[in-house]
Parts: sequence; structure tokens; C-alpha cells
Amino acid sequence: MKTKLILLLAVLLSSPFAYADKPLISVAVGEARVKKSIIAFPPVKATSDPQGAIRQARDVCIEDLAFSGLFDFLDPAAFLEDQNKAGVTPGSFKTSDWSSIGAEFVLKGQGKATASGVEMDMYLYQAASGRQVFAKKYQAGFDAVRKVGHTLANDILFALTGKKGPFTSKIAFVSDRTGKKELYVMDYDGHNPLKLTANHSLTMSPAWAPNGRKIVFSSVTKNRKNVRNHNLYAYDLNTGKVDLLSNKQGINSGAVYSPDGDKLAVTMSFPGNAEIFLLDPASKVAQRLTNAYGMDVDPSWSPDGKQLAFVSDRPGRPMIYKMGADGSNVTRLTFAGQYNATPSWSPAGNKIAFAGWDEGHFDIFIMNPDGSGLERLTKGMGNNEDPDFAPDGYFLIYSSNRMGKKNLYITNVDNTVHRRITTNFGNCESPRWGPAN
Amino acid sequence: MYQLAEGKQANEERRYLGFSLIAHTTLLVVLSIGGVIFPAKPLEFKSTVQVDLVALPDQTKVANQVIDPTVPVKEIAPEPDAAEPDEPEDAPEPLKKEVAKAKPAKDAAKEAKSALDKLKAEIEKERKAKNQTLADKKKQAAKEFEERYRTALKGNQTNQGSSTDGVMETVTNAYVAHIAERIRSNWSLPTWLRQGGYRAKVIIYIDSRGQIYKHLFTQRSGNENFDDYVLSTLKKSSPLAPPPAELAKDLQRGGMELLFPL
Repeated sequence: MKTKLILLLAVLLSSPFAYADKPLISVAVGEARVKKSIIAFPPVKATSDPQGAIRQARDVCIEDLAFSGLFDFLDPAAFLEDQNKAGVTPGSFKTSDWSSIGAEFVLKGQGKATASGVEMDMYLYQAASGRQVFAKKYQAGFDAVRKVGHTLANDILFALTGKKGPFTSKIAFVSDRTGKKELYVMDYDGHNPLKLTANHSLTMSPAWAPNGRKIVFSSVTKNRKNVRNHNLYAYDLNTGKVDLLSNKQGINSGAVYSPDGDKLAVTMSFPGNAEIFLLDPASKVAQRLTNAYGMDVDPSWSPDGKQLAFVSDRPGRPMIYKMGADGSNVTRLTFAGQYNATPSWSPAGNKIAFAGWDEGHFDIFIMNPDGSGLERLTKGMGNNEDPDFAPDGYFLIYSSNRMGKKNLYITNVDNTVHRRITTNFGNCESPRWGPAN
Repeated sequence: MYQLAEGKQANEERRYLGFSLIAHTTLLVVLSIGGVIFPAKPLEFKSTVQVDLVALPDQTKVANQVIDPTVPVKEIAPEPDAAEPDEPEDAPEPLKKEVAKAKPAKDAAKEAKSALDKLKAEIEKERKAKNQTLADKKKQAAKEFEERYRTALKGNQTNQGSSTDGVMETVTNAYVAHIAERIRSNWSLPTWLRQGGYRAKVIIYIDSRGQIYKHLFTQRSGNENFDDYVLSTLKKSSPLAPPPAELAKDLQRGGMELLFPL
């Protein structure tokens, strides 16, 4: 009996419970410093690439990710790895070759060019741990090589940040490069511009349908009575067909699709004063939303479709207002400046951008949807107008004449990115960022 | 009969002994298991700072002055008393009269010694009194200085304070501060991760050479990339300074918990 008790005590005292160690001290490390992620992207191993298409796709991807302001790429001169011997698949190379030179992520790939296009297998690894973050196969014709690069950039951005990138989106804009203002679309980075209209007239205020299949715009064209009028049209990007949506007397302009794509908010002046209406594009029936002595123009939907930001000169100077989608609860948002115009509500819902006249120029500003938190994004660089948010709500496009002619520029809400995207393309204005695709 | 009673008593003793052993064993088990099920929260290291919160800063010019801690504070000494100039301690006034009226050898020497001692005692007394006055004045001035600035700056100043109890010894504090500083200097995140509001807790085990030889996530962030950046920070920070002997055993066995970020 005694022996049994002693044994029991010995077992209990030697059990892991009795000696379970706990940390002596707890230390809060605090908030981290912010930096860009460092990516190493060695050339994609290509068994055949006579036209350099695979190399081009890689270059496009690097350009996109660097443009995002979130990533830096290691100089290839620093690479230690023997790329003739090392593989690209998991376990076929030493990740320490990359972590030791400061890379946080390694993007590797292999591919080939065939008669019909390119094929690429891409892998993203965490350099320190060797963990595979992402792997995907890409196939495209030679005419879509840039799109492969943009898609890869979007995929990497999504894999790391969980956010959809804007790199495959398109921009609609107006240019006078032919002598007349016509409607164009191009890639977000200024490549592949495509002219959509040949009205030989004054085209303005394009806006994308939420599904990206149509663009509404206004153009000064002759009515049946041979009277020139600002009429509203919709361009179908699949068919190239143009539909007349409204030719009421006076202005039919500044139209924007509601987030569900069912309605258009549009400025019409047939009552004698520019007011905002809701237009059903199918039935062409218009419902008046504003009714003020001053003009009400430039509507922009909140992403939930419940509110509209717009410009009104009812206080004597054009200022930014917002109202409910039924015209109720009109609230003034800006009080500063002489002339505030072209509001654009962020797809993220947290900001409204607009152009404000200050010190003899228009500049781009952003603010919270209640008018607070006003921030300036441009200063001392000519006139900067017509801001419009990218689908991610982070980037904005706008037009500026800082170099003489009007060109299109991209910035971000942090004001850390500035990039010109049009060159030698006449005067470019009214840019509208298309939906992510 | 007597043997029967003795046997009964022995049985009862064994019963009580058995009961006592079972009770103690149960208590031991409860305490051991309880410690595992309800682990004590580890001490959280924070520099103790004592802030005077007696009142909000006064609306006075002095209160709004910023005191530069690097500039040495000039001590305010009392004005020297013009009526009583300091005299050199080792230079008593020469005793001209006594020397002039010198007497025969023995008596004269005796008297002279006695007079000298008397004078010395008087001078010493006077000196002590002067020193006391000086010390009192100094003390008073320091008090006035202290009161003046304390009053003007209340609520505006902090001091390092001291350990709140005896657990955190100076050595521990210094070593923990070193580790915190070292980890912080290597702790960085890309913008896209910092905005995510992720949090992780890791216990690091440090050997006698300062190497982080083991780590254990007690709370993962839910984002693999964030956790990778935490590990990368630990890797960059190792080796740390070798722990002091007082801590070495504990850090090797129990480790230290790091909270990223808080």
C-alpha cells in the first residue's frame, strides 16, 4: 500500500503538468514600419520565344505591380541563382538563394511560344519559408500578350492582398487628335487606344455601364428639325451599335449608370434650367430629381445606389452636394473654394473626388462622403480636372494640361503615385475608368 | 482485550493516514491541472512611467515652456552675504597681541597654547554656524526652485518611475528592453498587410548564447503572409544578446512571449 502511494506521488510530481513552463515575460512589439514588398522575378524560362512575347508579358506584369506602389523588384544583377540549373516548380530550387539577397517573394515561370500564341506556368513563393503562394497557367494569342501580363499582375495582387487589381480594366475618354472630339477606349496604362465614334462633332461625358458592355456619351448632333443639340447616346462595345437615349431640347449630358445598371442619372435642361433626372434607358422615361433655381449637374452614384453626389450653383457658386436617389435630403458638402465640379464617388464608398478652383487653377481634391477630411492631390501643375476612381477605389484618373496639351494622369488616394498615361494623343479629357474584368 | 483495543487503534491510524494521503494527492492534482487549464497570464513588459496628473497645465507662460531634458539644470545658489564675507578656513587671524606680550618659557607656552585652543574653538564654532546658515539657505533656495517649477509644470512632466514590484529587477528590465528594441528594429510590413489589422503571438526560446532556438505560435494571425513576416523578423533579430545568468534558465525553458503588434 505504502509503495503504491509513493509511486503515485512520484508519477504526479514528474508529470508534464507539474512542470508546465510558461513564458516569463510578455512584450508588445508595436506597430510595424511600412515598406514595399520586395519581389524577385527572374526571366521566365522559355523553350521558344522568337517574338519575345513571353518576355513582354513579364515586363508588363513588372510595370503593373511596380506602378501599384506596393512592390519593388530586385535588380537581376543581384541574383545568385544559376538559372540554367535551377527549376521553377516547388523543391526544384533553393529559396535561400532568394531570401539571402533580400527577396521576400520569388516569382518564377516557364513557358513557350507556339504557332497560336503563348503558354506560361507561373509560380509565386514566399522566399524565406519557400511556401507556394500561387500557381497558375496562362494561355493567349499573340494579340493578347499584354493582357496576360496584366492578368498575372492582377492575380499576384489578389493572392497577396486579397484585392482585385485594376490592371485589365479599360479607360474611356474623349480626344481631339483628329480635330474633332471623339470617344476612345484604351488599356488602363494607355496602350491599345481604340476610336469608337466618328461623329465629326463635339463628343463629351462618357460613362461605363457596370457590366462594361456599353458606354453612354453625349454628342452635339442635328435633330430632325436640323437643330444642333446635346443628345445622349449609348455605344454597345460588342456590336458597335449606337442607340439614341435622349434628344430632349437642350442639354442631355453627364449621364451615369446606377450601380445596378437599370437607370441613368443625367443632366437635362429642357425645363429651362439644368436639372438632374433619372432616365430609364429602356423606356426612355425621365423622372426629375432636382428642382432648384440654380443649375444642378454632374451626378455621381454612391456604390450602394442610394445616394447621388452632384454640383449645384444654388449658393451662388458651384459647390458639391449629395442627395438621396429619389432627390430627397439634399446636403451641401463643400463650402471652400470658388468653383467645385465633377464629383466622383469612390467604388469603395469612402471618398468623393472632385475638381476645385483654387489659386487660379483647377486641382484634384478628395473628401469623405460627409464633406469632412478634405485633401488635395494636385498643386501647382496646371489645371487638373475630371477625376474618376478606378474600380478598386484606390487609384484615380484625371486630365491635366500641366505639359501644355491636356493629357491623362493617374494618382492614388495616398498621393504617392503619379503617372502620365497618354502622350501625343491630342487633348485628352473626361476620362472614365471602366469596371474590373 | 488490550490487544484487541491496540489493533483497533492501529487500524484507525492507518485509516487516517490513508485519508490524509488521498486528500493531499487530490489537492496536488487539482493544483497541477488547474494551472494548465487556467494558465496564469504572463507578465507584460511595459516601461513604467509616472505621470503627474494633479491638474491640467496652467495657462502661464512658464507652463508652456518646453524643458529640454538634455540641458543641465543650473543650480540656484543663494547670493553671497556681503556683510559676512567668507574667510579662508585655514587662515586664522595672527595673534599679534599675545605674541608681543610673551612670558617666560613654560608658562608662556602653556598660556599661548590655551589661548590658541580657545581661539581655534571659537573660529570652528563660527565656521560651523556659517556653514549651517549656508546649507539652510541652499536648502531653502532648492526648495523654492523645486516649488516654482513643480507648480508651473504640473501635468507636463514625466519621470521614469520605478519598478512597480520586486519581480522586475533591473537586469531583467534591461535585457527585455534590449530584446524589444532589437525585434522592433526588424519589424516591418508592406502597406497591404499593415492595413489588415492582423495580430499574432509567438513564444521565443532563447539559449545561453542569445540564439532564438525555438518559437511557438500561441496565436496565429489568420494570414500566412503576416505570420511569415513575423518569422522573418525573428530570423533577422537572432542572435540576441546572451541573457543574463538570472534569466537564462527561464528564457530557455519558459521563453518570452512576443505580441505582434500589441
